[in-house]
Amino acid sequence: VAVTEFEQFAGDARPQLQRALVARYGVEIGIEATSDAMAYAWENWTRVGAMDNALGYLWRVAQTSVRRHHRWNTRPTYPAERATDASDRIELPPALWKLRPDVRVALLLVHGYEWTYDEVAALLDVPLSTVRNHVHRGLKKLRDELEDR
Amino acid sequence: MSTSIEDRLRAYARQLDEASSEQDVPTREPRRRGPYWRVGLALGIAAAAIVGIVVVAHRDDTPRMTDAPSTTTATTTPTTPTTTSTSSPAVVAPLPVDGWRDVAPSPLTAREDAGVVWTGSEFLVWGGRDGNLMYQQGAAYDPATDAWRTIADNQWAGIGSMSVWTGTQFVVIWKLSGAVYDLATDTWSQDALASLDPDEYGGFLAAAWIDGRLLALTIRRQPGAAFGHLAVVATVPGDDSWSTLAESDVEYTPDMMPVATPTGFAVSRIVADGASAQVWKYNAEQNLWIDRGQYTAPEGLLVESFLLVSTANGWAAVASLRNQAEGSQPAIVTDGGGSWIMSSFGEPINVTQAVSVGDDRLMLFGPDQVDLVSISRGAIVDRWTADGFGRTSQALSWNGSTLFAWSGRAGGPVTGAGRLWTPNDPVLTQKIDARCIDRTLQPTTSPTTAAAWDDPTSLATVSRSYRPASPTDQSTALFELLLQRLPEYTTGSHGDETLSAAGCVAGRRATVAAAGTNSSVTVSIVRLTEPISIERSIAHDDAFTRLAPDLFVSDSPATGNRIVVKVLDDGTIIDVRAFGQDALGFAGWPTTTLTFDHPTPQPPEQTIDDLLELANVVTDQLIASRP
Repeated sequence: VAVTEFEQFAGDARPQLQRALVARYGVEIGIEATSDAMAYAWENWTRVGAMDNALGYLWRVAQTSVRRHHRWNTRPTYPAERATDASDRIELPPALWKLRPDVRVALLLVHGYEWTYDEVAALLDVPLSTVRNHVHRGLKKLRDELEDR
Repeated sequence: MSTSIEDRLRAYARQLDEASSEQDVPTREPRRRGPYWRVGLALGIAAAAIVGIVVVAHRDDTPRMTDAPSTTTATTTPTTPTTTSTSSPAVVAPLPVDGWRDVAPSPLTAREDAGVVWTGSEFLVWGGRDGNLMYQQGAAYDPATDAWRTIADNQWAGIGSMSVWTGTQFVVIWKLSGAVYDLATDTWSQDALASLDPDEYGGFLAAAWIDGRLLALTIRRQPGAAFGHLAVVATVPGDDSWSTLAESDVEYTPDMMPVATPTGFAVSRIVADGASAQVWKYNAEQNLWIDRGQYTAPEGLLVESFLLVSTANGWAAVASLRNQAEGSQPAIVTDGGGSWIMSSFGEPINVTQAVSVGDDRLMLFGPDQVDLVSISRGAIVDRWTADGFGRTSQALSWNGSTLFAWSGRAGGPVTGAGRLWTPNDPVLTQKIDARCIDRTLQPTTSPTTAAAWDDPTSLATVSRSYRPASPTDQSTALFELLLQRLPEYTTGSHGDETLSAAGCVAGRRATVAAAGTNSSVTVSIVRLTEPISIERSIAHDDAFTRLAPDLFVSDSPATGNRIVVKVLDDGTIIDVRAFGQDALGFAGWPTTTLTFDHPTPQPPEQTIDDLLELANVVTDQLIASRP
């Protein structure tokens, strides 16, 4: 039964967690941290499965995992933006990765993946108003960076 | 019509998903490097390293969801931190963060682009300039006595002059001729060197002393051509002419970069569209020009610069590759190597000078920093970024054991200061490097990292971390030692230290914990598998103090951690960590900047002294267990 429950949980949680962690740490570290966190969830499923906010807990577990990558000086990796309508426009990714990490995560989750503010607040373990501020400030900074020049 | 920021975020989120799903599926075949070369490189490394690894990891340092702070007390007896450990005589190695020392003030005026040669006992500095002002003086520096002496003046100095040591004499060539300096008599011979015929040759580009002859790279004029073809000419001091050894069919252009190598010359040029760099070389033994072909930048990148460096094996090039999204990234190409070695130098630096310092090492100089890098791995070994450390247009010479760097421009002004660098990093250059895991090796059938660590003849590949930490005999012994030393800690786990493509460590780890509390102690015994600075390998979120060259401690009230990191002379790192409770009530998380109400971080029960003693005990056991 536990296996089935875990698989159901993992099927939903893993992509969500991975998106958040990739937004926070870039592709390479984000994926590794997701796998580490899911592995931890599997090993401790009895405890993790009983939590109200297991995703938020695994977000923290993943941060512990990420310490290792910081420790060995890994740099974040992220793809260049695919060109669409204006080839000479200013690239989004460098501007995005200059934002404060929590701001970037909130912005990408809300506007990139259409999470609700409540979902982001639960993941980050911060008040709803903080998420709102993150998204507002993040958008403003991106506009300043990308549109005003 | 422009796309809104929100639309671009949505589109970019899809791209992140795609990039993530690509990387999620490891494959044995290395993937082609695309425009996202970092991702491609990581995939290549992962692909070469892992096959079908189970996605389960055993994490000893994951947080524990309990509320009670640790009540466990340590049973070890505190000791005073010492700079050397009497219980571990192996702890002697200094770390490679120093190695530089200033040389005595020079009698010469500060300048740029001075020439320098090693005579066997002195570095002979000659010429140089300050703007358009040419200096026609020189001096000799003896590193053994840290003393300078001036030498006789001479007219042969100017922009583009070259210095060559013949084994007994110092030769300076400039434009179409030169002069010879006799060390014993402190005199110059103005007519000892024949002149090139200006109607036939276009001046010297590079010079070297090879097999008892002075070889010079020059331009052989061609009727009707703007410049002419690259050619190599030779003479010996006292002869009345130069002879043409080999003329190439390569048309010289002013954007070429020539360099003298131990075997001849190498010349490079960035192809006009920036997509590649072309290299030719001249081999003196074969008296042959060889077209080394074009080094094409990975897709999506352009060759921004291509700095040729003479190395023991011929030449290497430090390149800057650029794409729109990520800016400039460094990379290395070597003679004989067919492809780019994409570097992990960290932040791109503007490399203005590079010199080979050992078989696999380059010292790269930029205006703001100095990097020591491994050629074969494209990895940084050490970096110096202190104010004024970076230098450009200095006199540089490596004599096989010491790098001499004098004058040049430090930031803004020209400086007359000089430095010597001696590699004092046996940990990195010899021991770790010898066991460094080679990312180019094919996957083995049993990439057991602990085995690779314990068997110096084994070069296993790096696995990518998603596997259980397998208990080994070594990790069992470590675990039992911890249980014995910390009797209140009755639970825990152990295994080989997992590696990741980015992990750079191999070894074993054991954690003991007190049941029902947050308190735990983890000991890792690892080696670095990449030749990176040990200081750079330490967690950035813990503020470390270096108690001794081989000993770091961190007592961070913010994270609630106490850590001791000890380095043995063979490169082994013993990392002892006691986890308290951070601001979320968990053990050892870097989550301490929360602004709303959370518990105050609590340190672990163990003191730094306790951890030092534990590190010494582990060291003793490790040394005793070795054959």
